[in-house]
Formats: sequence, C-alpha cells, structure tokens
Amino acid sequence: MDKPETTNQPFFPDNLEENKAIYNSLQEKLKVIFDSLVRDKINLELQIIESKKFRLAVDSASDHIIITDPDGTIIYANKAVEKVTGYTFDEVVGKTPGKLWGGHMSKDFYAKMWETIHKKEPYKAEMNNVRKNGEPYVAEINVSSVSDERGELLFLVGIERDITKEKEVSQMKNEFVGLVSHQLRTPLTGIRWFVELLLRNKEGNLIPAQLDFLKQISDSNQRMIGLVNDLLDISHLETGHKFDVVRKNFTFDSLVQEVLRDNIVLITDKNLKIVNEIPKTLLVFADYAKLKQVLQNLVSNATKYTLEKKSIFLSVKTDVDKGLIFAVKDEGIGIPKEQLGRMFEKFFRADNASSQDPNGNGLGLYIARGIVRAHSGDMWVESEENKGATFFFSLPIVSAKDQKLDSENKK
Amino acid sequence: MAKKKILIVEDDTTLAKALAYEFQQQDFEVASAMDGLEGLKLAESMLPDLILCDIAMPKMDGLTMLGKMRETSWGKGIAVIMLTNFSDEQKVMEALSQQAFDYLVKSDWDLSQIVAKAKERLGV
Repeated sequence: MDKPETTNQPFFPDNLEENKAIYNSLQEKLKVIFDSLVRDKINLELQIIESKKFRLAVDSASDHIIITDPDGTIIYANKAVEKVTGYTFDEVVGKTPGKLWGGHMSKDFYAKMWETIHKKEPYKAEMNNVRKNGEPYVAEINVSSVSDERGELLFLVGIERDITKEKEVSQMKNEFVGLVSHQLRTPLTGIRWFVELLLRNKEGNLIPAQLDFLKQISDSNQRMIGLVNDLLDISHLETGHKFDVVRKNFTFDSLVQEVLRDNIVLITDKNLKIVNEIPKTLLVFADYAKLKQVLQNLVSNATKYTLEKKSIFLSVKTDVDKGLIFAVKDEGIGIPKEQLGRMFEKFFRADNASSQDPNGNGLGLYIARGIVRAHSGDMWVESEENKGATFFFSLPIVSAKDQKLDSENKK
Repeated sequence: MAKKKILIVEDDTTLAKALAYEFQQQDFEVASAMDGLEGLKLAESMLPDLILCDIAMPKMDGLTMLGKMRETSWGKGIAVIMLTNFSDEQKVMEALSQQAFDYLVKSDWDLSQIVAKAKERLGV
C-alpha cells in the first residue's frame, strides 16, 4: 500500500494535499447534510407521533368533535360522534350535521349561528338534536373557525356536549323545589293567619310576654314565607325559561313611591334621607310586579346597610347601548373589594353583611339580577368599603312598535 | 242592610276555618265547600255575593269550577277572588281571563288584607 503512494507522490504531491482537503470538506458537508437529514427524520417522526397523539386525544375525547370545511361539510369526526349520534365515521364524512343529527332548530337560529361563524367569532348555544335511532337529545355546542394567515376561512371545529341528563336532573330538581314550596306555603299560611288572630288579643287576656312570643313566631314565619318565595323564584329562574315577564307601560315613580312606602318604618327609624332624582314622568315598559321586586330588594338593602342619618340616592341616566340605567346609591358599610365580584352569586353574603342584617339569605340580588336579565337588561355594583355601594340596573328602551309586538306575543 | 254572603271553597280545613272565622267576625254570612264540585252546587243554591276560591282541590279544581260557573246564567256575574298557593303566570292569566277579580297567593296576605280586598270588590 505504501509503495504506490510513494511512487505517485512525486507526480501529484500538491494535488494529493488538495484532494485530501476536498475530500475532508466533502466529508464535512456530507456529515452536515446527513445530520440534517437525521434531524429532519427525527422531526418528522416526532411530528407523526405528535399528530398521532393529537389524533388519539381528539379521537378519545368524551365530547363530540367534528371538523368541517367552511360550508359545514364534515371532513373529520371523532369517536364520540358515533357514541352520541349513532352515525359512524363513514356515514358522516362528506355530509353536513344538518342532514344527520341537526336541523331541528328554527331558521332564525341557524341564520344567527352562520352570521356569527362568518364574522369569525366563536359560537356557543344549546341545541335540540336527534340521534340516528330517532331519540332526541340536548347538546351544548361550540363552533370556532380556523383561518390561514391571510384570514381565509380554512375549516370549522365543532364541539358538542350531550347535556340531556344534566337537563333532566336540573328539571327534576326544580320541579321538586316547586312542588315542595307550594306544599310548604299551605301550613305557613295557617300559622300566619292564626297568629294574626291571636295577636289581635281580642279578649285582652294575653300578657305582654305572650304577645311578644307570638310576634317572634310571626317574624320567623314571615322569614320562612320569604325563603319559600325566593326558592320558587330561583327554581323558576333555573328551569331555563327564565321569568315570564308581562310588560306594560307605567311611570317609574309609581314604583318608587310604593317601594318607599313599604320601607317607611326602617327609613324613619334610622332617620334616613331619600334623595330621589328620577323624573316623576319617566315611563318604563316592564313587568310592574317583577320590577317592584327588584327595586324593593335594592332599596331595602340600602336602608338596611346605610348608617343612621345618612342618605340614599335614586337616579337614572340614559346610555346609547344599555338604554336606561337606574342607580340606587347608599352611604352604608360598603362591600369588601375582593367580594364585589361575588355579590350576585346564589346564597352569597359579604363578610360584613351579617352585622347589619343577620337574617338575610343571600338570594335577593341573585333573583333581582335574574329579573332584570329577563327584561334584557343587566345589573352590576360599584362600591368602596365603609363608604357605600351603588347598585345599577339597566332596562333597554323598547320602541312603540316592539311594545306592540311584545303584547301581541303574550296573547 | 242584609249581610253579604261569602262562599269559601277551600280543601285545607285549617285555612278554611281561619277564613270563615274572620269573615263571620266581619259580619259576613259564610258558607264553606271542600272541593270545586261541592262549591259549584253550593254557589248555585246560595248565590253568594263573593266566592273565595282555592285552585288545587280534589274532585274539581278551582279554575274548572270557575269556568263551569261562568257558562251558567246564574254564575256569570258572581264576584270571585282566587286564593291559592300557586304563583305561576299561566294560572293567574287563566283566572283573570275568567273574570276573577283578583288572584292572591295565600301565604303573602294577612286575613285583614283579604277582608279588605273582598270589601273593595263588594263596594262595602
């Protein structure tokens, strides 16, 4: 081996060095290419594993997931789709949900859904669908759109959750509460009426202590009646159909005067000043009895929590988006900052509430907001602890035309 | 002046007793029925000035009784106040569409307030 090299050496001594360098550099380059190929291969394998992982995750998700083209034609369906709807993968691909389990909602419903999707906003709703075997089911659906970097719609991802069971359980729970509440009212009425008769002390033979005890029975009974009424309101609120509101036109002031009359005892006892800045002639289109419940709740809270000799302010302003915004402002103990967000939760009471009103049940504001929302308005609160709180609620302004439509729909 | 006649149609004996006692005290002539069927018969024979009528009752419920009475010549114009512990809108609407003067949830009212309502309707 050495010999030819040494023989050749004199002829190509420089070339040999050059060749070596070329060879080395080629080897380097090849190594780089090889390394990059290996890296690509690994990346590719990783991507395959990733995509398999994703596919596996999506496939085995308990929620029903479909991917469709921008027109709604299904290109992928996970395993839960078959479990929920009864249609196999092969039966759904190439078709639209509307031709399979969907298509049972109103035209308006679908129009609104597509309008939202085309605006590339996520769409969420509850839908009544039908399985392959004809069985109806209730689904909570979420549709989101996926676009490329130019904003062109690529595909839609639809996620459905079968909430039929949850709906049934909640319906049963509410029917039960409704039934029990009605049954409770009858004996509570008996107590109320006979205590009322006794408290009159017609024969004059009850001693003051006995009358006081009767008064305690009466107070407890009234609280129980209030609680049953609140529970009924809640079961109504949570059966899905919200509150049925029967709207008519009335002056808001008539409501204010009635509510102030109902709270006059505490207002006088605490020497509170009521500053009412709501115009006497302001007309609203709402459910009188229900809106009274809202105002009654806010005003009675304000009187309970406002300190003696302080003021309560009632005002209204207009807002382009929200319509009329009413405010009930008090100079009370206020609400701790970290608890402000929880004021409208069912059964929630702020830490400092019990000192002023030990008997509250934490349901009033939850119900009041439910009533306002049934009027397509909303309710919110601003407060600073030890300075007071302002509760706002909005009522949309209803045009004369829509008022007419509303009363016709109720007939 | 002749006493005003009140018919109480109520299946709960405790509540019927309290109502009857209160209206007698207030100088009304009182009759009571335990269900809608009995109430309908009694209403036809005594022709009361006012009926206080419960809704959920055995044999015949209050709304059916009211509907049947409104179909008769004698019962078209009798004043009725529905007195019940159901507060759903549908029942209220149905009662008011049958010319019930008012619809009161029993547990929300004192006896004295119910008497005041009755007097308001009768104009006494």
